[in-house]
Amino acid sequence: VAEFLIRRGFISLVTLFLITVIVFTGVRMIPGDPARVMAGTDADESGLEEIRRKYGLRDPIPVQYVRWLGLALRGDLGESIRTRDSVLRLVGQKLPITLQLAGYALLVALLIAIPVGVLAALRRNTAWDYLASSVSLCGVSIPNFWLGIMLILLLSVRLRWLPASGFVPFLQDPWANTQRLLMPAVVLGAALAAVLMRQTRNSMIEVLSADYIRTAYAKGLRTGIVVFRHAIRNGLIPVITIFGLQLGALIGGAVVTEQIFVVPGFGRLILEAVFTRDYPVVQGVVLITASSYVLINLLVDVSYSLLNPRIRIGGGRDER
Amino acid sequence: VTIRLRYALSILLCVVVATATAEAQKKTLVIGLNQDPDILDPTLSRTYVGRIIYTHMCEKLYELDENLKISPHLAAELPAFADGGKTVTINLRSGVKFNDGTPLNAEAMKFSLDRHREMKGSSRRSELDHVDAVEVVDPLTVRLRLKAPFSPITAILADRAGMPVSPAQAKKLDDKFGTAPICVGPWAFTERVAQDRIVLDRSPHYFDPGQAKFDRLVFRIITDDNVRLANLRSGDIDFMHLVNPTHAASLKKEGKFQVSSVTGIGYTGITINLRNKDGKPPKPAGDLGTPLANDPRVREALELSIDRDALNQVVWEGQYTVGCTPISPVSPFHDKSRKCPGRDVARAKKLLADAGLGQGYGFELTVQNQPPARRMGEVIQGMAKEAGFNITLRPSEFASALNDDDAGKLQAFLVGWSGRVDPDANIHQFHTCQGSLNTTHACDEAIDALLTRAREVSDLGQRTQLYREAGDRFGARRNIIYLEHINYIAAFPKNLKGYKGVPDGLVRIKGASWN
Repeated sequence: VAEFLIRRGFISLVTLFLITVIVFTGVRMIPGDPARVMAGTDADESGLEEIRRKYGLRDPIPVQYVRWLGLALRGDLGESIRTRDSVLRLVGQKLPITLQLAGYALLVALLIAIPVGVLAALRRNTAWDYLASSVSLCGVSIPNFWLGIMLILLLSVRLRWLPASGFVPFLQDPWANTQRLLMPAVVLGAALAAVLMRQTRNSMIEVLSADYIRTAYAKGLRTGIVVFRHAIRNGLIPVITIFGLQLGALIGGAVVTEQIFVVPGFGRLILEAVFTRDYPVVQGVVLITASSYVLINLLVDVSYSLLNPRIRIGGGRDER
Repeated sequence: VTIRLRYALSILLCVVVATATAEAQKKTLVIGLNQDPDILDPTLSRTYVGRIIYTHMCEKLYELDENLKISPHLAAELPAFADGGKTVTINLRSGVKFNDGTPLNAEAMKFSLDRHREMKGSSRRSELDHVDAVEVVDPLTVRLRLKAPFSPITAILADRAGMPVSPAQAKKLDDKFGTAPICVGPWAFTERVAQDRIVLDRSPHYFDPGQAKFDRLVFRIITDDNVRLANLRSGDIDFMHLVNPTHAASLKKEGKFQVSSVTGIGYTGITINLRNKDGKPPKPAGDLGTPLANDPRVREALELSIDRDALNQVVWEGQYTVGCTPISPVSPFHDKSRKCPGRDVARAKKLLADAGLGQGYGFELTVQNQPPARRMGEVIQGMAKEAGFNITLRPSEFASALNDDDAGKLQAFLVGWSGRVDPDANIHQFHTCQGSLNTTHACDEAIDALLTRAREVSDLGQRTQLYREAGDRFGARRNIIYLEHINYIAAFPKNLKGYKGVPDGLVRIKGASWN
């Protein structure tokens, strides 16, 4: 396991390095003079020059990169050009909001996906299965922004059951917090639920046809015990892989969802920073997101062995 | 009896709670903005939307009314010009305090003006470029020494350059002043959550407390037009700024909300490159060698091919205001005698034929890569085609298009200008030979002389006449074909009374209240 961790750790660091290089170069390749975007259309040449000088935009990109990386390694991600807030402070404010939203979305997704997926696998090729597949297809196909607007129009504008937008910290008012995050969580969780449901169904079908499950039935165990004690544990392994990969997509989806429901999270921070060429924020946010993504994937790999001891991470020659 | 009493008490309690909740709600006004402002420091900030926040917490020496008339606000009277317009004396209103309780006096005003002029990264520096020195005359009087007579200074001081900041707070926070700004205003800064909200609370120090009818103002940042509208309809916001014209038309039909529409001071037009080959001034002009650049008949034909009214109806549901000059019809400098040319396809065809282009002429029109701008470009393309123009539309990201425009890479560019109160800022830099925004490289010394003279005189009638004469000349030159003025549209519940739209488009809640 130690060798595996070292190898994966090294690969993760290389991945992170490449991501920072790509992002650093990429944001500078966006057409348009960043000083002009930062200064607005009315800025005169002296104002633009001052911005270029202040943020070192005249230096070659490699020089700018090394300067930024040096500071980042010391924990200094700089400050927002627009608001002069520290990037770390901004991330500290925004990340918990998006994590909470992602947590709710995962909950929504799991509550839908696992029972429906298992049911569809048990009732394979019946009306239940077809219904679940159709719903899943809808979940994958419906765009976030459309579903979001529809929910707002129905639940906020027409029925006035839920607030249309905004965010209240959980510790300040748990009820208001839940009310405001309910619609975004459903929207964000819907697509994930669809993906996980299909994966659960396929995986469970495979597991349910395995010899040891047949043996369990032959021993006279009831379906509930066979499914919940023997099948689900193995059936969920591929689901966890997808789950890990989808966490990244969840952060991506949060960009749109937070925009629609005006949730002041990480997604809106990224979007606004890209639009306004707030380089320090874009770079800082991407570094943190990429690090989290790499870490999550690492944890998913490690969790394989914990869930199923038959899997040996190292894959040694004498192991089968 | 007991049960009835219980029922009665329950109902009474419900009524009391409901009333109390409603009252609490009424004391806060939630305003939906389409953008998150940049730093809330009048010296450093650049965004338009930031000025909406300042209107409520950072007041200015001079203020505008619905007719764009400038009146004294933190100043006691309009500035006095002397020494041939090179000395400007400003008397301050007495008894004014910043929101930290410190007094607004001449020393504080000088501190603020010097900060605007000299602070590193100041966005006000170029606006106050004409000021040579600021002097304290007495505790309530400051004097500006100008490098040359410059009458637009009053309008400049009616914006961010005329906003005093608390010296105590500015010295304490320096370039972080914007994280906890303190100025003079009916409301004071309380908190900001980036990309979410800015909260202001009623100030106990304001000199005219009766004007702040709400205890709290919450500015919520909702960038998507549809979502902002849904929030207005659901009651999550009370006031929607920048309603798009399509939504405005439907809101008017619904009749549930008050829709305020006011013609703005900016404009949209087609900027035509005449001689910008390698960059705007001070780089030298060059010959582009195209009929559009070199033959005024071709540009006149283009203008005559466009029906401004139809453009407004098709693209903006008739909600904007057509125009053919850089001066908005709401401005006191507007020349009411000027009529926009109507569409005349026959004459446009003849002009093209006279220019030797009877078989048709093609050029590229750059538009911003956004649906409304593309739509506008397509309508112009369709109209001009009937006169013999084959326009190719080139959608471009805005910042790139501005760069290309500066660099002389564009033939024609459909672009707007947000506008300023004084016409000088809408004309001088675009039409003078060395103007900083003269990307067309148009140059006519007679126009330069007229526009420079308009800066020197302060009489409204004289200035209007000078702008009329200059307008005749650059209107005939057609380096910019002006098409329309944006309307600032806001929507709010009908029981919000006392709101007045001002042509600068900024929201002003002061004085407004629930009915």
